[in-house]
Amino acid sequence: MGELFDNLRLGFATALSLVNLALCLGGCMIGTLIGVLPGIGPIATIAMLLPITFNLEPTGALILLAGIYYGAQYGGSTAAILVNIPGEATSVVTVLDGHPMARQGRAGVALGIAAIGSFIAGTIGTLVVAGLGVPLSEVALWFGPPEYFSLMLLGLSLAVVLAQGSLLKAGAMVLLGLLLSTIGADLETGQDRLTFGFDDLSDGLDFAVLAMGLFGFAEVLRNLEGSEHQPKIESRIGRLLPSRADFKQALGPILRGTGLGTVLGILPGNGAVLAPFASYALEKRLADEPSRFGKGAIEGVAGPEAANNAGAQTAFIPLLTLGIPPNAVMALMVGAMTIHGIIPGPQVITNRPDLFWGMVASMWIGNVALLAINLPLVGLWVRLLRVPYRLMFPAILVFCCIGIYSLNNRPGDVLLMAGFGLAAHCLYKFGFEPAPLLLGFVLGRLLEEKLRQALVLSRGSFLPFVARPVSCALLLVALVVIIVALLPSVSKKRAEVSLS
Amino acid sequence: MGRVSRDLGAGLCLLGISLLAIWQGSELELGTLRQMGPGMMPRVLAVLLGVCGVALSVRSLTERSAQPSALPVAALVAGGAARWAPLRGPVCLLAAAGAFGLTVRPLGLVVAAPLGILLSMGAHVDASRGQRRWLLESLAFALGLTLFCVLLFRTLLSLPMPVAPWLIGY
Amino acid sequence: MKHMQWVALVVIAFFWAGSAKAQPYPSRPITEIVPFAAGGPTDVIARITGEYMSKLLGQQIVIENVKGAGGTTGITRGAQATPDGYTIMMGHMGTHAAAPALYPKLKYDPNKDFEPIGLAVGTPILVVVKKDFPAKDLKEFIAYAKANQAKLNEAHAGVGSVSFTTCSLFDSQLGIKPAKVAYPGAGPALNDLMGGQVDYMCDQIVNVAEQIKGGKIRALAIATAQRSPALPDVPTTKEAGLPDFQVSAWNALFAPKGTPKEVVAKLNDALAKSLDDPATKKRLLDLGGILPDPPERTPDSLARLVKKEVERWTPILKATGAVGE
Repeated sequence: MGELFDNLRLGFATALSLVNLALCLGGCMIGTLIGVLPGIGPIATIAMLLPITFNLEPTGALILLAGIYYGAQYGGSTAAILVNIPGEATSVVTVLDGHPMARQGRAGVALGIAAIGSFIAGTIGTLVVAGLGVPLSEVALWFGPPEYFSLMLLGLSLAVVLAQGSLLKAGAMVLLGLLLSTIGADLETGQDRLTFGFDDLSDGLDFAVLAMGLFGFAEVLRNLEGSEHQPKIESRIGRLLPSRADFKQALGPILRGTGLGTVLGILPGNGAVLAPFASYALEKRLADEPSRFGKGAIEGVAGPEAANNAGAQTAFIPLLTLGIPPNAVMALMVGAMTIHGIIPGPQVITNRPDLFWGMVASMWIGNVALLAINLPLVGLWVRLLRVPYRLMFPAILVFCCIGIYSLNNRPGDVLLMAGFGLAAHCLYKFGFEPAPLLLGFVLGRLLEEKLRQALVLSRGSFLPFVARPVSCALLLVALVVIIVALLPSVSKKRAEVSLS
Repeated sequence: MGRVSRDLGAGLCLLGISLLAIWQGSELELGTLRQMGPGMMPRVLAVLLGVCGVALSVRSLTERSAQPSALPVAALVAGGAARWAPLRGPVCLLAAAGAFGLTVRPLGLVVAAPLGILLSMGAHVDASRGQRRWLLESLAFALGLTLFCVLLFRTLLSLPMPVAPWLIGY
Repeated sequence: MKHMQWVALVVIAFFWAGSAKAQPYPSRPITEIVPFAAGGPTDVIARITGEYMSKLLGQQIVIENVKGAGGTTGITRGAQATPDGYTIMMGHMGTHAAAPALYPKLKYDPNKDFEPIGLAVGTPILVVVKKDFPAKDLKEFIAYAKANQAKLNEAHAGVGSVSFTTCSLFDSQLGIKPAKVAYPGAGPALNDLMGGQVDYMCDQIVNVAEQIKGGKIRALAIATAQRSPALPDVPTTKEAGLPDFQVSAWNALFAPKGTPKEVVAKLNDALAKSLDDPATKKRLLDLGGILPDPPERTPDSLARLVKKEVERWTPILKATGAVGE
């Protein structure tokens, strides 16, 4: 314990230097901005800012880049709540209840609880990284391909809980999402799959293109269709920040979400993307009135937001303790470290304790900074909702177009987004929901990759999936989730909730 | 007139997608379980999707209760100006995105953005104001928003977006 | 009178645009295409050398990451770019030697479609095994591998990657055909190696050095003539009993065919000088890189290397039967 305090003291001393503090704040602000803007994500921004970090001290450089990363998580929730557009894969779940809350005039409450929940999760996450980082990284290594596959199956089974309407349609959407994720060059052979001859699709579909199309474009279409040509938003704004009662309701989900995010974040290969979905499903299961979900239940915002922020913190564990980046953003951090002569690996924590502990300390400082930045902004964002829709929607559209174009500098992406928007509109008409589709898409690549790897390792046998303890346990949980959802009593409730 | 039952339409839609996927992926190797080829996963998923589609269609046909029409069939059949009204939104937005996509590289943001904004605004004409006034307002808004975008994306975030290659070179 | 202002503006604009072309090279930022994700070894090398080159040339070298298909997507784009010296690319052994054998529909010819600029850095390859692999050194590994082929699992970072290509050579020299497990990158492959899910892989030193030092995996040999100062305890393949396995993943700068000779010369000079700059040199050496000797830094030397490497790798890779697209 004493050692931990010493290390933390070193960390804070490093992180609180004027330069590092400024970099932390700068990073958080840039991150928030790009998180709010649809399309542009932390990956592109960090890649662009890499050259600028050359002249900085390695610790400072990493603090800046890390700030952008979690800033983007906070910003992404803002966009999700206000305009129903998930900026990142981790904000998909926030739109389900966050945006309905905004429509009910409770945008401030939603934004506030998202920020507060993220802060609590971030604090706990930082403590976990500080205290349990090294042992947890060992645990993560137990996850081989079969375990991962089972985890992904469990994730997909959550779609049945996530969905509000017909189970069959939700399942179909998951399958469609999985199918869409196979588009692009095959991992092993490099052959193009389902690309219809378009070279542009060789890299696969970008999440942002799909999300913008399904949520941004389709949403605008839907709103314009109504007789008033705009979404029904309560004119009175209501509270700007969560009340005591709100907070009490949200505390449990926040803590549970933090737990889920912390555990899933350490899994290399972006297992963290599962955390918000898992949290949403858990909260819906535990709530006394699950029918509130999808209509503005505060637990549906608090839990997932906490989960994704906790996951963002613990995602640093495999990077800092093993030198393995768990996702694309962390891979950029590896690059940043390498350029500065610090090669990430198990020895970083002993060779450069100032770097490790400085980063840990600045994680927490970053969360404080983000809370300080985002809470006052709530008022500004809420006021933005009052802009007449006839001006809002072209702005949303053009932001989406610019954001999407900036991903790969490909005009084709913009057209693809529009195409998906139209398709989503049709799907909506038929009673399908977009959330399970995105879930399938997000998990698809990893699911297939792990399945193929596991089958090669087992020489074609499916035995390891049930023989290995962790994998077996995950599969059982998935089975339970599906069975419970299929029980007659539950599906009857579901029929009442189905979309009209 | 014909009522397109929603679930039937949904099921057929899924079936269509499934067949499309199977057709596109027909040249890919399936491989074996030991060494899954690139075609295995898409094929399996497409087949499952098709099964869902069939299930949905069958269910809709066996259900007695009438369901709301999914597509604006009534409007299309009724004819007249009302026929095109529901299509206005999608067409305008598609045109807006298309125009943006086609013009952003050669002509830059200063052309692409206003074009996109104006075309999309066509989806929502406010009949209460005069035609001319609306046009001027929209133009002003489009130019203002474009300026804001250029400042935000190009200047502040330094994203490599073409602003006006024909005017200032980048 | 009002119109005169506009006319003047247009005239000035024309002159300004026209004069930009008359200025000496380089008069605006240069785009360097790196055909892999940012943060990976090639990207890092490009950024480290690019930083110093930018200083020498007086114009910023802007890295553009274009990933896909083992690096061939980015190289294809670079090969088709305007040969005015403002688009160059960092290729490596995979894109300019292995690609023709692995990608039958390849849209470029490494020997014909480029103006070689110069070699940057080579990164030695190591053979690494999981921590508790039942072989203490390379000789025991070879014996075990030959006896237990069917059980052996080799990790690689995808068809066309350095780990795939170099291990193909390794396997063919040993005469074994292990089960090859594909990962979406060196990181995930290394991760499963550390977890003991797979048995071995061949990878660049910069990806594995720290994990070896931290004891998470073991190195059996390094495929160079001399031991690396970064990992002095790892024997060379010559010492360990497999002298024919000598590979290093070389990285080099290329320009599209038709780029003027003076431009190429200027870029080559900047690159060569950056390799001599003490700070840059140190960073590259710290990564475990091998810097080419002065005679190897010329464009002609690079052209010869490309030719030789294509000839070397084509038969080996064709024999594996792997096909990319």
